Formats: sequence, structure tokens, C-alpha cells
Amino acid sequence: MTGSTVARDWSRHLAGWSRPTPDLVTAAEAMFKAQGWHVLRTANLDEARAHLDSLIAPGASVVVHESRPWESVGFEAVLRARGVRVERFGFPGAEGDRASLTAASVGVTGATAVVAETGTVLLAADDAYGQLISNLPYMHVVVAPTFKVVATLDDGLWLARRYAERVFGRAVPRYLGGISGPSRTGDIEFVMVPGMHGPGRVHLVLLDVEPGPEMLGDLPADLLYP
Amino acid sequence: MAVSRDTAAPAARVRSALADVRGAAARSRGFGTIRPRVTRLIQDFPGLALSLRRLKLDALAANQELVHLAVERMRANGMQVFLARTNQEALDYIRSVLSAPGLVVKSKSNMGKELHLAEALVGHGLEVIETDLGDRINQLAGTPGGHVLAPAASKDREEIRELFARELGRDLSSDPEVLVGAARESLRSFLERADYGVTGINALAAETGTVCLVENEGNIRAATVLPRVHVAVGGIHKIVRSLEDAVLVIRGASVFGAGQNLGNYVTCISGPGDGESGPEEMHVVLVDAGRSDAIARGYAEAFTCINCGSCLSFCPVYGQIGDAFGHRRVGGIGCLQTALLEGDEAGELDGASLCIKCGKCRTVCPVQLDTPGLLIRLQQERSRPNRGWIFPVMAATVADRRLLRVMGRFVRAYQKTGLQHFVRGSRVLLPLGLEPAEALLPDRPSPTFVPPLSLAAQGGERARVAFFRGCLADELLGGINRDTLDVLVVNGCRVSVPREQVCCGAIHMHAGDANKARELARRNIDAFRGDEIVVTNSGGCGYLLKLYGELLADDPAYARLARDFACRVRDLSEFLMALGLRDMAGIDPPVRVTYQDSCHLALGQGITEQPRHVLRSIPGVEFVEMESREACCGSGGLWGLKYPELSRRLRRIKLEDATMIGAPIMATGNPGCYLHLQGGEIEVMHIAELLAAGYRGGGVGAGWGGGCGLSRRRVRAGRAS
Repeated sequence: MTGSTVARDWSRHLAGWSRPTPDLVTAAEAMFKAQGWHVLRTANLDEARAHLDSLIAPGASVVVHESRPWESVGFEAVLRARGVRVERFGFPGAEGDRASLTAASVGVTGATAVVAETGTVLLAADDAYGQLISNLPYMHVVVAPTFKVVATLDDGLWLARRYAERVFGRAVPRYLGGISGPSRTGDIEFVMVPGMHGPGRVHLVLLDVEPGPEMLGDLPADLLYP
Repeated sequence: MAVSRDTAAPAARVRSALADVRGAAARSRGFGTIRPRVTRLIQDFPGLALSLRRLKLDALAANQELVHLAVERMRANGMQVFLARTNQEALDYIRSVLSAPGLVVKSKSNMGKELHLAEALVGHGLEVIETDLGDRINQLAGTPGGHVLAPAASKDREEIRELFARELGRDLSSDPEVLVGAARESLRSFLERADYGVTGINALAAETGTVCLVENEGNIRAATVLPRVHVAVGGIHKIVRSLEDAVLVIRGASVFGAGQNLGNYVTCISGPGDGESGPEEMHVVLVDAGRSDAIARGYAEAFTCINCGSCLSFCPVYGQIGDAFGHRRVGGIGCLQTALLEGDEAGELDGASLCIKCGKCRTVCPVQLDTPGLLIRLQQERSRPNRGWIFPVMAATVADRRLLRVMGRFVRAYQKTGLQHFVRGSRVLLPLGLEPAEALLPDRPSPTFVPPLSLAAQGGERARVAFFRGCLADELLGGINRDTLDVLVVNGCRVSVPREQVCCGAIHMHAGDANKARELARRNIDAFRGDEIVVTNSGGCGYLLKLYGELLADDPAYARLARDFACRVRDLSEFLMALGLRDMAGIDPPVRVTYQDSCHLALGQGITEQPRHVLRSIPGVEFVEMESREACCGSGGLWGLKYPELSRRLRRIKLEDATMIGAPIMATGNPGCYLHLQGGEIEVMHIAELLAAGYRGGGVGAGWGGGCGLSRRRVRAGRAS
């Protein structure tokens, strides 16, 4: 399957989850790049850390929304050791200061689903921090495992619904955001300019890892949690 | 013709809009970018529009039930929901929510525009900041912004630079990146300290009580979560069944409106925040204000619109006059909705009559909304008769063959005696308001041509056809009918020309007189009994002839006959391409020819390939495709008489398109376009004339000396037999 065939397949199917094929992941990478994302895909956590290191400048202030893969990379400790201010939101038991959200230069989030057909990161949460963190800083970094890649938007909605049902006991998450590239506007002579209100730079770090053993019903917990 | 009170406003707006050269240039640049992008992308989504159309029609059919469900589910989600029966109720409620003084950050909202919400809140003592860049530009300039997606489409970067330099109190370059950076900085400061966020609603999922929004900039996301209170306002027609349906609506708006695979940010909110990360209160205001009545009256289709703005980007009228095509709401669909919600007078004031009914909008609409058809239907249901005297005289003339002949004689005398030269030079008709109508007359008198009742095939009979003569063209452009018959005959057709046939009724339909059109349709069906293919050389006539089945669907005596008749109708090029053209001598010296798509032929009947195929088949014709900047040539029948300046502007654009491709000849398949376009720097020829020249051999000739000369012989033969 190529990027363009994924783009053309808007058909709606609400099947259950199956592990993405290597072709689908490749197609997703291509579509995300076409949508203006900077994409790194790696199985090597050292490479992921080095990449994050190149993105996050020493003087940055970082705000992070609940993300299991971000935890697994273990880069936050590196940043803190370097004296970079990192505030955490939405993680169990860890609430940052809301006021620091507006001053942050880098926002880090996970993803509920990584949608191949549109190059979209779906972000489901019961709080609004994910919306704020992915919108206010000029740079947004998404860290997600490749097993979260799905073919269509409806597949992504399916995962968001399962997450809301099994974690929050609701039919749908309170906040569901779809992000398909950098913020942009064409309001001046239809010329596309990035970074209007939201981030002007968006990065997707796709980790080739396996979900952990924890299950939520018939689905891996790592598949549902961001 | 006296301009009646309620049309004065649109006409005056048109005049000032046509004088705004800078705005037209900005739109032309903008639409020049977005049109090819959308046209290309929608090819990738062949079934999307039909799915969305069904989805929206289904949701509107169940609207009452879905409103109920949505309200219940949203309340269960912790939202405060208000169902407003009128705009006033909606405004009162919003004012009561925003009771304490403070700062309001507002995002793009059609309902907000309808309610004049920003003005109402300012009047209520609040500071209101538009956060969408285009809207902010208009707010700073003090201008209204009509285009849904690109509210500042009529402003260029220099004008925008001046606005932001004044607002920020410092000098800026006009580089869009610099301007966007300045706008980000300025608007962020408002978003961060806002008390209230006011947004619209793109779609509302009833089953889960979810408000869905789409955007590219990120201001909506900010306005929904940064302030303490979020108010979302939208019409009840935005309700669909499920979250998946709502996301499909957003998909359609992205693809058709912006030429984007998906809008940059999709935001689906199913409850207020916790008061910590998000707002403490979320209010959803659903406005009926006549929508459920309009749906009950059978006009649900008008509210399937998902406000993507695609129709505006492609509309030839909007392209030329921008937001002057509208008032409360913009464009044909906007005027239609105004007419349905606020009455005919209000719709007329918005500019309903400015819709040229070319049908371009329908082809680029994510729900295939037939705005021209619905406007015509609404006009037919009006009790008010059409004003002015031109229409009744014209309608009576075209419906009566004898009157037509008298008119034809008068016109020829007018042309031959030199009176036409005098009139055009002296402009005596200007004060009478007749100049636009006079300008439609050909420069040269057309040969008198009374078609015979039947013509035998030449060179072996291949088909039997009946010829539909048309009315105006029959008298004013007889040469085209003669050439058409010649071409049919040399291609082996035995042609009958039923004597009892009359005008197709298109003029009456357009003017809202459906009963007269039905009467004419019945007479034509009676005239064309038999099973021959009915050939017409008029795209406009052909369009309506093919719709006779629908026109007479409720007539028990004629419904079936009308359907059968409609199935037999073919455009000349459609028929000839299917039949296969016989070899011809060709045109010598060769000529470069471009082709102008008639709206009724291309958009109405989907006939685009056939005329091009036929033209390419003529040896000596070098066919070149021009880049048509606007869909329509601006003829529009009576529309052109009502809005002559606009009509002339579109005509000039079309002629320039042909000039740019270097084609001295523009072919057309519709006498309406022919009459409108002729007389300029480009020679306009009907396809039949070029074909006849091809069979005759030699040059294309200058106008009417042409024809293969066959039909004159056939006339005699026909009469002798």
C-alpha cells in the first residue's frame, strides 16, 4: 500500500483493532511528512533520545502531557539534569502549574492513534491539558509507538472510544483533538504560512516497540493509553 | 425599466463592487490558487459527496428527534444547553451567560454572523476580539467578511500590512510570514487573558452529545479551553447522528472547502472541562429561527449545507463582486437560506436574484446542494408576479411562433436599414434601460431560414431524427439551424422538423412561471410523438427538454410521455459523437479554435467531452483548450438584462480567456452564449457552423454566408416529395 492509496481510502469501517502492517506504517510516515510533520521512526531508544536532544534547546521550557512512550524513552531525566524546566500534566498524581503552559516553548504529548490516511495524531483525554500543550508552545513533539498506527480516521475514533469506555467509563473522551500538521493560515492572499495560533513546528517520533503485557479487556493497555 | 425598491440594494452593491479593482484582483489571485487545488483533490473522493448528502438529509429528516437526543446527551455530559426558537432568544441567552464585564475571544461562526453577535456583545459592554486571522483583519478594517473560509479574500497583503502596523503601532513588512507572526503575538495576548470563549459548531453528534469543530489556525482550540466559560452557538441543522458522522462532515468541509485532506485541527468536545485544565462552564446554544419550519416545508436540502465555502470559491458572480453577493448571508446558498428563514423580501435584499444559475456550485459542493434549482422552486411558489414589462413581452413572444416571426422580421429590418448602427452609436436606448437587451442582437442580420418539415438523408440513411428548432435562435440565428440540418443530413440522418413545436419553456422556468413551462412542455411532447431521437443545438433548451420528466412528474396524463420524451433528447454534439462523423473535406486555411462550455450543457447535462471530440474531428481545426477563469460567460438569459454590467464583465473575461490562448474563434454549443459573446474581438461560432464549414470545404467564411448549401436543395426536395 502506498501513501496515495491510503489517502484515497476514506471508506468507513468499524472493525476491531489489528496490528498495523509494515506497509501501513510506511504509508503513514509518508503522509505525515506530506502534512508537514517532521518524522523520525526508530527502534533504538538511544537514537530517539539523541533526536529529542537535537530538538529541545537547552534554554527551552517543556510541558508534557501524559504519555507512556515518553516515559519509556527516559529523556525527561536528562532534561532535568540539564536544568531544563519540565512540567507534567495529566500523569497520575502529577499536576503542573497551568500558568506555565502559556510560557512553555515545547509541548510533548503521546497519541491515542496515528492515522495514516490523513497524517493525523488523535489525542483523547478527559482533561483539556492535551489540547493546551499541543496548541500553545511553538513546537509540539508527539511520541508514539508504531502499533498505534491505524489506516483511517474511523479506526482512530474506534480506539478513542475504547480508551474512553475502558479508562473513563464514558462513550467518548471529553476532549478529542485531531492534529494534522503545523498550525497554518491562508488568510493572506491564500499563501500558506505556518504557526498562526498553534505550533509552527510539529514532530512525530514513532517508536518501533511492542506493547507491554498489561491488558484492558481484550486490548493491550499501551494501545489505549496515550 | 424602473428599479423596484427591494432590488435597488443588490444592484447598487454590484455597481460599487465592480468598481473595486483591488478586491477583484485579490479574489482572482486567491481563487486562482484554491480552485485547482479543490478540483484536483475531489477527484480522489468520488463517493464522499453522495455519502454526505445522504447523511445530512437523513439527519434533517430526523431533526426533531435528534435535537431531543442531542440536548439530553449534552446535558448528561455536563453542558448547559439552550434551545433558541428565535435569534433574539439566542442573543438574550448569550448575553445572560456573559453577564459580567470582560474580554470575549470569538472564533469564526456563521451563526455568530447571523446573530450579529459581536456587535451585540460590544453593545452589552464587553470587549470582543475576533481570533481568526481573516476575521481579525476585517475587524481591524471595519469591513464585513463574507467568504466562509477566507473572510479576507478581498484584501491584499499591503492593505493587511497597514492594518496591523496601525494596531501594533510599529512598522512591518508586507511579507505574509511577518504579518502572521505579528498577528500571533497580538492575538495570543487576548486569548491568554480572555474571560469568555465564543465559537461556532461545525457538526454536533447527537448520540454522544459532542460539539465538533474544524480549523487550520488553532484559535478555536484556544478559545474552547483557555477562558473560564465557553459558549458554542450553531443552527439546529448542524446535528448529525454520531461522532463518526460528524467527523465525516468535517472531512467533507476540508476536502471541498479548502482542498485539504483534513482540516488541521479537529476538536471534539463532549463535556465541560474540570474547571482546572479547561473551562468551568460550557454552554451550547442551538438556534432554530425558522429552520424546522423550512425543513417541514420541504426545503431540508437548503440546510444540508456544511458551510465549507466551496461554492463561493467557484461562483462566477462571487468571483466578480465578492461579498456584495449577499448581505445577511453570502452567495446563492446564503440568499436561499435567508429567503427561507426570513422571507422572500429579505432573500431578495440579500441578492437571491444575483444567482446566475449556472450550476457550478453544485459540482463542487460536498453535499451536491442544488442551490439554483431550489431558488427557482422558491420563485415558482411565490404568489408575487414577476415585475417589469420585458419578461411578460418576451415570454409571450417566445411562446408563439407567429409573434416570433414578426419579431424576427423587425430585428432584421432594424439591422439591415442601419438603424442598429445609429442606435448603438447614439445610445438612445440607455435611458430606457433597453441597451443590455439590444446588445444581445447579432451584429449582422441572420439569413431568413424556415426549416422544411422533413429532409431526406444523404449518402445512405443511418438514423432518423427529429429536430428541435429552439425559439430565439430560430429567428435571430437561423444560419445555425440551417447548418445543423445540413450536418445531420450529410451524416445520413433523415430529419423531421415538427411544425407544432414551441419554445422549450426555459425562459419561463427561469422567471418562475412553471405553469407556462409545463404547458409548453406538453405541446412539445405532442409535437414530437414518435420514437426518433430529438436533436437540439441549444445547450439551454436541451437541459430543460431533458428535465421534462421531472417537470411533468405530477401530471397523470403526461408523466410517462414526458419521461419517454426526455430520454430521447440529445445535444447535437452528443448525438454526432455517438453516431460517428462522416469524413469531411475540412477547413482550409486552418483555424485555431477554442471551446466555451455552456453551463447548461457542461454543468447541467455533463456534456463536455462530446463537443471537443467533434471539434477535433474537423480537419483544419487546431483545437486549443483555454483556461476559463470563470465557469459562466455571463449570459444567463434574463439575468443578463437585470445585471448588465456584471454580465458584460463576465463576457469580457471569457473573451480574454480565448485571446490569451491565441484562438481567434471560440466555439459554443448554446445560442444563449452565442448571442451574448458575439460582437467582440473573438469570432464566436456554433459547433454546427464549424462542422458545416468542414463539410463544405474551404474557409470558415465570415459569418452567415456559410452552410453546406445542402438544406436549400433539400428544402426543395422535401417540398416536392
